[in-house]
Amino acid sequence: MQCIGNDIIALNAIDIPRTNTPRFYTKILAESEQQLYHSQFSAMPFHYFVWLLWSIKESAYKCLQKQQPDLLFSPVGTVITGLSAPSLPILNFPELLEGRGFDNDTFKSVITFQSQKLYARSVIYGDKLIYTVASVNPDFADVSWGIKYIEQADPESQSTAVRSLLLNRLQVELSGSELEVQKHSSGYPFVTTGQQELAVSLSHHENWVGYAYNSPSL
Amino acid sequence: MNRTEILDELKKILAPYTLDKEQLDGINEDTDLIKDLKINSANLVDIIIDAEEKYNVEIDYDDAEKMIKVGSCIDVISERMSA
Repeated sequence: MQCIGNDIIALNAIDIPRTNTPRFYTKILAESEQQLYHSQFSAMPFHYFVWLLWSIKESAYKCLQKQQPDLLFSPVGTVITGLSAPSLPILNFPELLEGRGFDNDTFKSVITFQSQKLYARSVIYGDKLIYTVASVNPDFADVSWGIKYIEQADPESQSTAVRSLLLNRLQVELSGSELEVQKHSSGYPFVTTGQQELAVSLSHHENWVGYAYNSPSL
Repeated sequence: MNRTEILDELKKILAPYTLDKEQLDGINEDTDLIKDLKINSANLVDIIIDAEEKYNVEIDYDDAEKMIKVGSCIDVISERMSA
């Protein structure tokens, strides 16, 4: 099964004073990443940097978990060894955004976990959200993804909304196949398309839901 | 503090982050923080810090990554308290 992971952070839900305390951020950032902030990213509010890196690490973990179902999430052990920022910030976000591949002008990162290397693309939409997709493949051209704002933020509404968003997209892409989202016993989701299993990644935080998958070759 | 006492206190720490309040009433050592209590992973560090403050211990990231189920949280807290 192909490896993909995504993560979404609702920026209105984060505790900024707590994020800025060493007790908090040292549980997410490695020493080298703290240095990276001061040397290259200090123009960005620190809490944005912390949660950007969290979303990259969480996405990488979700990706690796598909290959290693018993893997534990180790934020400090999942190290961002390369990070570049877009030249222009994105100020606003529509209620729904879906795409395939990423604009060249996004956050690009390289992640190292033990001996494995992963790649991620992230976007910060103004003061609304951070969205990341991670993969073992540096080419994101065939990665399909989507983000939507939902009115209700309870777990059932999030779960229903993200599945519906994903399946609507896939049904168009796979022209009417019978599709169902299932979960592996270790928790990662996949979609059955006839005889095949397609790895997907689902995410939600407060009023935002997101999905990502590698578009199946037709 | 025995494991039951730690569990009772842990329940109070988890409460503000738990989106499935009914599950919280019936938690046991097998309860999974994310799958059962629907705690968003973005709150896991908050829970670790709240536990550090509550029990006056320091939980490093090697211990933190084990805190997936209520039972493993109690293991880490009781080990740190007796360290």
